[in-house]
Amino acid sequence: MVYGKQLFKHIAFLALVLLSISLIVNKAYSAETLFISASLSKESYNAGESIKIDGIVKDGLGNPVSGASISIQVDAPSGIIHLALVYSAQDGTFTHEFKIPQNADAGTYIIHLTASKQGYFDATTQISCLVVAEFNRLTVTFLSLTIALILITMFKRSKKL
Amino acid sequence: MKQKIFATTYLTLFILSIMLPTILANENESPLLIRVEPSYRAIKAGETTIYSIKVESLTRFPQIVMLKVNGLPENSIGIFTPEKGRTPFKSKLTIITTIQTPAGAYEITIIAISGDKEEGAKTALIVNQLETTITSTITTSTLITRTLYVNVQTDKTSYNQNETVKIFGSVQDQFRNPLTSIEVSIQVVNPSGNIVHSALTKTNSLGIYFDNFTIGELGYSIFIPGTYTVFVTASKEGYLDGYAHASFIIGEANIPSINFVNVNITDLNGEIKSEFAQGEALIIWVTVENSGATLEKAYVWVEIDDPNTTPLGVYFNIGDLENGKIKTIGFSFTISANAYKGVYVAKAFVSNDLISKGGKFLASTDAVFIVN
Repeated sequence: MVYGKQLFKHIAFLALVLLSISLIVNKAYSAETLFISASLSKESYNAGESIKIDGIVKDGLGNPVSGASISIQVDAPSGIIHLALVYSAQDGTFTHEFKIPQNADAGTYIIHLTASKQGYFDATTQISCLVVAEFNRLTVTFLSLTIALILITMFKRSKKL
Repeated sequence: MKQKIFATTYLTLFILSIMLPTILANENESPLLIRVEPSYRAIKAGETTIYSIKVESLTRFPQIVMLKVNGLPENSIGIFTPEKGRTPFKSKLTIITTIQTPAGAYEITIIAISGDKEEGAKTALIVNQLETTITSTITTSTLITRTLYVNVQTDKTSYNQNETVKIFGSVQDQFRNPLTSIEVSIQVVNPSGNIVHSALTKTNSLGIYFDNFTIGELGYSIFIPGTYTVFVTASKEGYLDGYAHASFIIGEANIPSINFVNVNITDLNGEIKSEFAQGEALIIWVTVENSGATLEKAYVWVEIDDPNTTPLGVYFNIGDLENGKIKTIGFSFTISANAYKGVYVAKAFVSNDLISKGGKFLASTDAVFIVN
């Protein structure tokens, strides 16, 4: 009976030790993982316009991480058009702004981001936006004017009749 | 006997000639030697002029040196090509004036900075009043937001325990003018991600800041060899914070430790220049050093931005960056015939892969050139 009680005490102690270790390991793992999120102010941009990227870097516990480096690569339909290296501020936020060239290709632009900091695992994310080329904008304007003219003419004719 | 005396005297003189520069360059004296030519230049307001600079080390060991200029007239800018290098090296200072630059004689001081040591050389610039109408002027950069540009450097890329790490750098505005009394926060992070040194300092009258710490005084009982990273943040009201990082190794590192040695811009004949014409071709020479573990399939990138901060092109080269090796890569670029006039920025990066494949930039720097 006494032996059984002692065994139970030993097992309970061992279980407690194992639980503590798992909690420490879990906490350490969570704290070493970075999370990055980023967004754009608009979904569509014109060629020549500025794109502003806003984001935040956090750890596994949701705390903001300052001094993390954020590598940025912007892919246009024709290839890579822009690179940047920025850092997260005290509150974990970061911002980056760049201009789309006037002669940029129309299409979907993908912005790839990697957040990294010594002692943490890297985190990646990507966001995208649509870029409307100067030519397309002119085409849209021209088509809109043509349609408007046709409608006005039709309206005038129907009034005459 | 005479022959013996002669041989001994000759040998002593020979040893002394080798040892003397090292003996003379004691701790309190600057181990740098800087020469600038010519002693003066005279130009009209709105014109550009170039000075040649030679930087040498008085010790036997090469040093990473940063160049700065003081005494420029108002409404003018000075561009070094390259702005930093490993001794001995040559550089060119291009001073670009505008029609608003006041006439007068200016004493220009070129300062070479390495660690906490600095050495200056003086020259003069005479700006005469404009007599004829200027047909072309430099357009200034129109940035979306005012940003601080900060860079950071350590005096060496590899240290032993108990050695002093000297950290230095500069803070500039978007027009590359040095900014004084700017608060600079410095943090050194060890391979485990722990902060082992932090300091708060301010830039001096040249826009330079200094800091140092001794590795043996890190305050950590367990000393970790590997790659250490220096992070700096420059802050000023009304500006977006500027950030930069540099790395160094203590002992042996199992990850790469990449630093840019310099970025040179030349014409197609290899002549270092910082002023180009519309339609002209140029080569951007990027020199990188890896003092850490070998980086296989390293991406060395160059992006060129026009005076409106619009990216004009991205170029890259893939190759191994071996441990302890220095590598120079050239990227050619042709300025379009109808390019904007003004200050262009060549940004250089090194990454371990494409960012789209989960890679990250390990180092970055930039250099500027003018299209006039």
